[in-house]
Amino acid sequence: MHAEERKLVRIADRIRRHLLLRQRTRYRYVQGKLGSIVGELQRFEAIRRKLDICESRGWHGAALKVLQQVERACGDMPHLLQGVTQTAQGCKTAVPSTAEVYRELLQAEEEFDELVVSKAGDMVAVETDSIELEGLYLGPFQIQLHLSALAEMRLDNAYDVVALHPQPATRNPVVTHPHVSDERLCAGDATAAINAALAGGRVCDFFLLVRSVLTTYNPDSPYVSIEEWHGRPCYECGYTVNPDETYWCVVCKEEYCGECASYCRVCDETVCLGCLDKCEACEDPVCPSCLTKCPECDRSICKTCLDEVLCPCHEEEETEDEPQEQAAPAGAAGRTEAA
Amino acid sequence: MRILFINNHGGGFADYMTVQDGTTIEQFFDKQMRDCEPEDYLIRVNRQPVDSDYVLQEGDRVTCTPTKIEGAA
Repeated sequence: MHAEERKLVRIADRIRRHLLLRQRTRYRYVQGKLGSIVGELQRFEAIRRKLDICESRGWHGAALKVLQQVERACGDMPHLLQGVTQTAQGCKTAVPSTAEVYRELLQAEEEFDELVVSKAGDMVAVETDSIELEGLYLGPFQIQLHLSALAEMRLDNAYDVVALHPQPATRNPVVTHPHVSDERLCAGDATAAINAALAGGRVCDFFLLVRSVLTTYNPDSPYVSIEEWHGRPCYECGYTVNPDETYWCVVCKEEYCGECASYCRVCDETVCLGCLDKCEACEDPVCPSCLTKCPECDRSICKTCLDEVLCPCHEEEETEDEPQEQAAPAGAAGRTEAA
Repeated sequence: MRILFINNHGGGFADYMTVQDGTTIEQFFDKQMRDCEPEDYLIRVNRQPVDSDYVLQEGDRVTCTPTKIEGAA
């Protein structure tokens, strides 16, 4: 047997041993839960005896309180039973032989051209081809299976999906694929099949299933959608903006970058520069809703200036009135003299 | 005759099944995977790709793995 083959046999044996450990963990879990169920049954027995005494002695009030205990005890049982049932069913999955796992590893080598084994022998991995989803290039990924995690009850943490040429989403650099965040795949419809494959030591099936998820785009549930992968374009200048850093104009209902958007100084709403007008009194930028007409001169002024009578036409009126006021005392004196 | 069928569609069902002698892999797929298209699956017999007219043998190991599965977030 060649050195490479021996290495694979060792890996296969390690996988089998971890799965055996997992099986034992599940047996212990079932044992523990059965113990809890036995405890609950003893509780039921104690309640039954109490109810018996209440009934025989006519203690109706006490009987009602005992019945409440019955309700509570019954409420806990379905959850306990379900947990035990599921775990017991999972224990039925036979742990494969080392030879069987070895054949799985060989098949994985054929399906993916190469099987990577870490130096410590605690991780095996395959690499996908470059993945492109609806025109979005994501690069190849490495699917890493951590062998020691196969001994855990839950298998969700047994593998990582690592981008080899990361093309992360603009707004979230840990999202390297619409369904991969922080090197964790959200397997969606493949979750049950992946868990079953890992529990049964079907390593190649596991790799194939993960690849099937990576090569499929689910537009209904991505971490970041393909449309927003590179951000959103500003409606005015076209600059690509992180979706969390766009500004929504309440007037034209389009999205803008920070350079092309501002806000109304009266109502504080976000408005793009194209929709903002200028108050002819205070010269502040205001939105169309906060701009009005001066009833005197028909100038466009903001509501604040209107309320505070700050339109320039009032200053102009005062300026026109001043010479007349200065002339008034002479006229008054004239009238006084006439009188 | 009995074969082992591992269906990685859905929950990952794996169990022994009895099939009639002379059943081809194509016939087997059509029966077990109704409303599914073979081109949407990786079909392996004894870990190898086979022709659609391959006749199943006693003890064969058949796997069907979807090539497109929707993930989530």
